[in-house]
Amino acid sequence: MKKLSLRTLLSVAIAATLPFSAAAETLKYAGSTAPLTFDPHATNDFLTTAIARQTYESLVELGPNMELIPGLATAWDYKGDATWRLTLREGVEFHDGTLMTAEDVAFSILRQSTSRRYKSLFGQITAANVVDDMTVDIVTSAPDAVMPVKLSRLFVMSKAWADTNGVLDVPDLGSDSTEAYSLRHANGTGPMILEEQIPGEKTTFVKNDGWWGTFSGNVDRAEYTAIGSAPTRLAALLSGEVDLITDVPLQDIERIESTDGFAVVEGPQRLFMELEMDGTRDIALATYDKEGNPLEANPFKDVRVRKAIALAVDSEAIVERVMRGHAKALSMPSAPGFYGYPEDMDVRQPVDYEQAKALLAEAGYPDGFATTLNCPLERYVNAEEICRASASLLARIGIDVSVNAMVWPEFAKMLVNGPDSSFHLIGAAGNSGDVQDTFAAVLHTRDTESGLGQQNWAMWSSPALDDTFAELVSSFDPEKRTELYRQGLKIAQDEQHAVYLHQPFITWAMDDVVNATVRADSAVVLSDVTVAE
Amino acid sequence: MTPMIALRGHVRALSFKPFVLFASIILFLMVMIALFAPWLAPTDPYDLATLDLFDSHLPPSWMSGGDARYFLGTDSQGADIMSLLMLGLRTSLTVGLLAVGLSVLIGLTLGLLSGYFRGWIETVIMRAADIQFTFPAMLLALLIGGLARSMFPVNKQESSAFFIVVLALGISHWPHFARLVRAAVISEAGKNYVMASRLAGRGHFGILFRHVMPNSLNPVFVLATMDIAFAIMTEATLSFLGFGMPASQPSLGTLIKVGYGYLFSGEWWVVVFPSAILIILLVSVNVFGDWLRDRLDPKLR
Repeated sequence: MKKLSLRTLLSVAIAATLPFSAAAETLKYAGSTAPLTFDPHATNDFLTTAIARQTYESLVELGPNMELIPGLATAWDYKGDATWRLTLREGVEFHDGTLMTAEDVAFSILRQSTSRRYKSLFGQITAANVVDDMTVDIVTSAPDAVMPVKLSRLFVMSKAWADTNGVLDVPDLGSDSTEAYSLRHANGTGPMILEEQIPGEKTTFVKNDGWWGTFSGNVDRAEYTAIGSAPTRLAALLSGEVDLITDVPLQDIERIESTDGFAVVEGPQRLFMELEMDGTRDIALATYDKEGNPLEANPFKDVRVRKAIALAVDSEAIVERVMRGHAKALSMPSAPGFYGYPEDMDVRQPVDYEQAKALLAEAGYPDGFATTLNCPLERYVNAEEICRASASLLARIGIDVSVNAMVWPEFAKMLVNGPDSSFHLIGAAGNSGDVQDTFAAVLHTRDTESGLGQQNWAMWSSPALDDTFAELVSSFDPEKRTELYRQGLKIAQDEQHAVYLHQPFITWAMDDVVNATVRADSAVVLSDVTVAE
Repeated sequence: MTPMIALRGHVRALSFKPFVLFASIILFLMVMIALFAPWLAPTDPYDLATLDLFDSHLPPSWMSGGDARYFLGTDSQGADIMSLLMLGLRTSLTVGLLAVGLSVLIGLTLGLLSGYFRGWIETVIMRAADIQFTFPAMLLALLIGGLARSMFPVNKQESSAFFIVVLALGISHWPHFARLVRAAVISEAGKNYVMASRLAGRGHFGILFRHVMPNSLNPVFVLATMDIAFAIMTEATLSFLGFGMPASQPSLGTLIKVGYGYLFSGEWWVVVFPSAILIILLVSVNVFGDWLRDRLDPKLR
């Protein structure tokens, strides 16, 4: 204790003697959840990736509008024979001072492709061949037109570092007892160096002066804290404890905007919220008739029931009242900002309770039925309120919904070990942001072998969509691809694979001295943040 | 003293203490509202089909933007806050009463047994009570609640929440009563009339229930009144932490939990009203309980 306070005193004394410099700024920011790990290959959790992206860089980078720009690869060309050739950037150094080589890149490609969480994205990669010092070939089992988009999720790690620290294989994130060096330490090439990672508490970054890119901001040091409770997080901002918060509670946006010295910025997130319904089981879980006896059937498997539910759940009302306008209502499993989103097709059918009831009667449920809606807490904006609103909307057509709210780890476990749910709310995207990848991860028939349909928690299966996907993967002609995107989304709409609700907006609130821009992947790009004196 | 005369004496004593009288009236009113809540409440927020999302986030009717149909405003789902409060009060009070009832039942039985029979029965029961005392009641309630919850199927969890909370609170409070009763029984059982009764050939249970128990009940009654406040508070805490009553059947604690998110947003009515009602309820129960103790506890007379 004594030692600590002495050190604090010393550092204060030293700090006081240093000349104050405008170019040296610390950014303290807070969000709802802590990064799960610092191993970028161990998880595809978008919040973790958004934070890990500060230290690890991808081969292809994303620009401010999610467009593809050169990253650690300066060029990518399709060579034929299911092979993509990457030209690497020269003179890039890892944080430990070693030079990035083609060996490291090939190692990273293979390491990430073996990760369980990236099976649907990179599982088709069969080889990564070093051609020369600055060239690598990626070979896939079948031609893959969207490889460059996917490479924006492929992070480069130093092979020598991984070898020294015993993390050549991707550590398993599944069990809580796992502890691997790469979960708390990082050695990337990015603009920020990971200084310290205290799981669940705090993450500290310092500026990487040797970064190959240009800093458009002036952040020297950044501290990220997870503050789970939204009011507490907001209080931290208003009291000056932090300079920027992500995941601002919607009800507080107005108040922050009207408070002097604070600003709110907003942008669409690459995510769509949907109510997923069991498309496989013959007897739906936790579903009952109106007397409370277990229902010996799966109403969700009937497209008429799915349509009836979609007709009753008024997504416009949810956007306006629950999301307070900070979202965009959707009618398909895609949203603005996804590559391949067809805006003209996104037309919502008007709410019609009578037609919904008629459809239910036709399907054999004239009095409706009772079911359980599994609902994750704290991860998606106002998730519990969306669930409760859906329950009251469905009560109007005779479907009694009891909302089973669960904390995120419990909810995620329920899906991963099963999925043991016949009706749930979830935010979906696919990994890369290309509609093809949404098809691969969310809509394709589940197949553990190939990793396709890995996030198809609805267990929905449509041979027509699977065929469309297969054709899409190897189509390089843009016009053909546009046609196939539309075809696949049309199948999802017609079959009502889920009830499509909305695309949430990302909202950040910050002190006026901070200047940061919202990105669709939720990443606070520290190299671009400016903090005025 | 017959019970009627005793009661009249208490009521007369009450009229000399205006604050106690005031608290008692408030408490009486609250109990009445809770009792008749389903008929008094202007709307039925449990009937989901009647909720309209476009009525959500309305302020109290006297504020600008308020709606005459909703005197205290509405929550994020368009439910009437006043109805929610009345039904929440009913839930909180019922949980409190039943939980204390359960504690008294367990505590009284075990206290009587250990105080009367002594020996190994006493040792076992009292050591168990001692062990339970080392755990905070809150922690125990969380533990029991979690265990009980995992034993129910998903669709029964919401409807069983009420019983789980009662069970958790009831079990976590019994040692207080057991200790109290045991002490009273020990002093009572040594008295001459008990001895006489025993010599007259009366059985253990006759003596226990006809003589010993009635004469040990006063302190139990006082402690139970005070404990109701504690049980209501613990229930509110459990619900605030998300382990109590579900949002579809809210207690005051659940309402505060839901409203807590709106603390900074200017929609103060969602959190302020349930908090105020909870505070008033707890103060009234405590004031009344204190007074009752003063009246009934011979040591304080």
